Amino acid sequence: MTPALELLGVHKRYGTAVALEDASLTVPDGRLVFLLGPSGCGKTTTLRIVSGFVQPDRGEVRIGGARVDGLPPERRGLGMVFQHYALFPHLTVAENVGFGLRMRRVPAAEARRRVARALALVRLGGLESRLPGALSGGQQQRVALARAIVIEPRLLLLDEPLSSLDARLRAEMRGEIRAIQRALGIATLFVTHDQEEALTMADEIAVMAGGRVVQVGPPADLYDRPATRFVAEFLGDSNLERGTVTGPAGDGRWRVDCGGLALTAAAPRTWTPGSRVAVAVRPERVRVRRPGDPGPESPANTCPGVIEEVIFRGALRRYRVRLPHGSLWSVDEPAAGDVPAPLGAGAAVTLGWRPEDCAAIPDE
Amino acid sequence: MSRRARLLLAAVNGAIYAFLLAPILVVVVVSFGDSAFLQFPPRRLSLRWYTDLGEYPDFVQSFWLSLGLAAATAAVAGVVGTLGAFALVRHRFPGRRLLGALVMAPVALPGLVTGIALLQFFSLLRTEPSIARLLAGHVAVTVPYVVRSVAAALAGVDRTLEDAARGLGASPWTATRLVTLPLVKPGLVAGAVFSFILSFDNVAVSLFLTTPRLVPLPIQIYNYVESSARPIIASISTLQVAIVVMLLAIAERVVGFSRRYVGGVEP
Amino acid sequence: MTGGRPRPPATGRGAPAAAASGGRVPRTGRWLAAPLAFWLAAWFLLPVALLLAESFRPVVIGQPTPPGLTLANYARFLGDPFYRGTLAATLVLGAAVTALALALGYPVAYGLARGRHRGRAVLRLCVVAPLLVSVVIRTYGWIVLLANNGAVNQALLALGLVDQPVKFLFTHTGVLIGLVHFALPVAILSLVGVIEAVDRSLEDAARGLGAGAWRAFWAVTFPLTLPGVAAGGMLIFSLTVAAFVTPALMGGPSLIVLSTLIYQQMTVTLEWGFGAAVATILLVVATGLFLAAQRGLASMRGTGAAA
Repeated sequence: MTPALELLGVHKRYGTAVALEDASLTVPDGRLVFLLGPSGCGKTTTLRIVSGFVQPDRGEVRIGGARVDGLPPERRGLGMVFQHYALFPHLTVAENVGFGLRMRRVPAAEARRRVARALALVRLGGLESRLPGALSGGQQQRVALARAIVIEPRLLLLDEPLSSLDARLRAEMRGEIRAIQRALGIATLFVTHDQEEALTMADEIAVMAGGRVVQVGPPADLYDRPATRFVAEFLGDSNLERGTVTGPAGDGRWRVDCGGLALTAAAPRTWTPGSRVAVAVRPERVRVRRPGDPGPESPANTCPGVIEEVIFRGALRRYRVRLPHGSLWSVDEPAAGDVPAPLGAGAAVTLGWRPEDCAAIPDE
Repeated sequence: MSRRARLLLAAVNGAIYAFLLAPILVVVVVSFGDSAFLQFPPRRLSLRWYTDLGEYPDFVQSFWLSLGLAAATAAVAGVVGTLGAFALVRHRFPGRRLLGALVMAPVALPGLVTGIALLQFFSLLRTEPSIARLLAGHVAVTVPYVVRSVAAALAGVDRTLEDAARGLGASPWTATRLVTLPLVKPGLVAGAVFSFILSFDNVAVSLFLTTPRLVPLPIQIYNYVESSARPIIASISTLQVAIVVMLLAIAERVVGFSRRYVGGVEP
Repeated sequence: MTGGRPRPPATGRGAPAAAASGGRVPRTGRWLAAPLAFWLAAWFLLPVALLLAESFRPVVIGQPTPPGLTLANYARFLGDPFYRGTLAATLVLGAAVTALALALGYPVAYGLARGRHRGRAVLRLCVVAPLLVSVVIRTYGWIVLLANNGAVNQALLALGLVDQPVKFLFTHTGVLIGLVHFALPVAILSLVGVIEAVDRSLEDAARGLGAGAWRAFWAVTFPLTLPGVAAGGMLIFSLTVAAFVTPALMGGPSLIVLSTLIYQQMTVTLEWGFGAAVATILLVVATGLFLAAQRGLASMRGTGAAA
């Protein structure tokens, strides 16, 4: 099936500043794809190129398989939700939501029906004659969403739509947006800097940094197998060690020496001995072995350490452990009932983790 | 502040307010007087100075001339000023900075100087004296206020609103028409009303562009006052003031108290 | 269509620096600005420039446009004691009006700036109202009031303060009264802004430290408003020296100020070169002060005058 959106090799510079460099992205039909990255990574520029407000210097933009390069925004048939909603303050909720239908000359009666349906979908039925100024932030956001979906676009563009909401509302809206997107089956491109948002909602995440798309894949893939140090550090927490590949360990595994810490990492590629790598291990994948615990399985990585700090985080306990070669690692242990008594600062422990939980990344 | 000091302050303020309003109130009251000579306070009230206005065709002509001229000035200044404001606030073009600085220049110069300059200019061009000269001058000195008013309103309108409209299928012009212009309307109305009043009241520029056949009302009043301070002047003056007051009331009704939207555009 | 040209950040809210939503059709701006630019250039800039040029043209009786450039007009003005006297009289009158307008306007402005809200709108309207009425009408009102048999003289006689009617019209006093009335609304409005810019909590702090309300005002608020008062004063001065109607109607033919002199030169004696020179002098004085005042008032608003 033709993807709803394809960006192929898009370049954009402003004077000497490069906003986008060879950016490529695909949003398959019906899927929710996240464009994730820090401020200045080029995601806003990408959005404006897709919506047609900015022309790329090079590259193609296809919507539904057709090139839209010359098309102005009003002819691209997209649904857009802006960061600050951009609701028309002088029009009622119904007039706002129905604006796109009015532009398409939909007859009044049908427009009314569709507006009512869209408002019901975002659970704002009954607020048709209110003005945006009289609505709360969360309500405004829903109106913006209704306005975008009522025109049945082939692609929905969301520009950090939740960033203006408080934490609780944000969590609530995440679920709602996901549900609406699934119900309507609209291909959606969601732009954000919030990695938690991306991890919880996305079908697929495209991470951007410095104007380039750095890695694309389902959230679990990106989380477990980051392709670069940037992705490893941007998505969730990582213990990062830098080292050199010493040699293969068979079965797709590699031995790496990280300044005295010898470990075995899994990486679905070939390394030449001597290559510099970064190894990322997620805190929750490290097990704390107390004295007296049974030994780990043989391919496991182990390392002794001393706990320097214990941080209580509700569902987890995080230990800050000093390893012999100098690094300070974060190790998360569930604070559930069946876990043995917590350890305190100063306790000597052994850490263990599997090679599969050790992602080797080329070190730039 | 002690009670006595506060009372003193209030009294002083009251006196100054009275000072501010005195001449205007006097004119209005005198216009309802009965005597053929100037008398304040008037002994008896009558409307004769209003009904007699018909016998002063020069006043009547001047009144209509000024009214039409002011309306035309407001219309032209409104259009030219609004287009210019959009250009200055929302677009880039060579000379934008220069134009932005230049726009306020007519306000900085004494009206007298502008009037003289125009008189000289038109006689250099050897054109026939006409109402067009007056219009040109009036628009030139009032358009800065329109630009300022519209630009201020426009700067307060979120630019992404137009983007949102375009994303929903509106052409650039439709987006401007349906979204931006309504939000700018208070600024436009305020600017146009101000332009009307300034034109209607204008003396400094009109003084040099009048001819025996084209005499705006303030100049006509000036001529009459210069010769003698008769009560007929009071009635036409009161009518002048009444027009201005009515216009302001209408403008207030049209623009409203941001009733349409909370946190909208500053007028 | 490529978009290789860099776009500077847009004015107004909401537009990211990366791409302005205006100027997409890159030439729209110049077409929208054209009518305004043309109107100002043709009916303002050009005429004023020509006026300046005219001031350097010699005045030759019988020859309307003699050739050549000269400073003779300026020399004539500055060299003749009568004209110098007119300039001096204008400036002195301006200074007197400014001082009075500021003095009278300050208490009213303070009341508006610091007063409670009920009725404030009405009072503000009373201040603005005179500005909406044509200056000829206001001057006519003063003529009625200040005439020998006018209300003011009637009151003075009735109160026994004088034995005979005081002559106000055709005197400097009358013109002064008229001009103060003309300048007062402007004074009040600009002073309101200045006083509002001073942080209220400064006075509160002074009172908390033991100063009475009056003392707190003089020691804290008043000094902080002085730069703004100065700027407002420059504004009023620039408007007053250019005033025409009030001196013309209330001063009569014998009381000459710069503006009435110019009027005479341009319409009666028709010595245009000379009139243009005098007009230029007025322009320089008035506009120079106006611009200085604008800068002063703008920076006051910016700093807020609050420590």
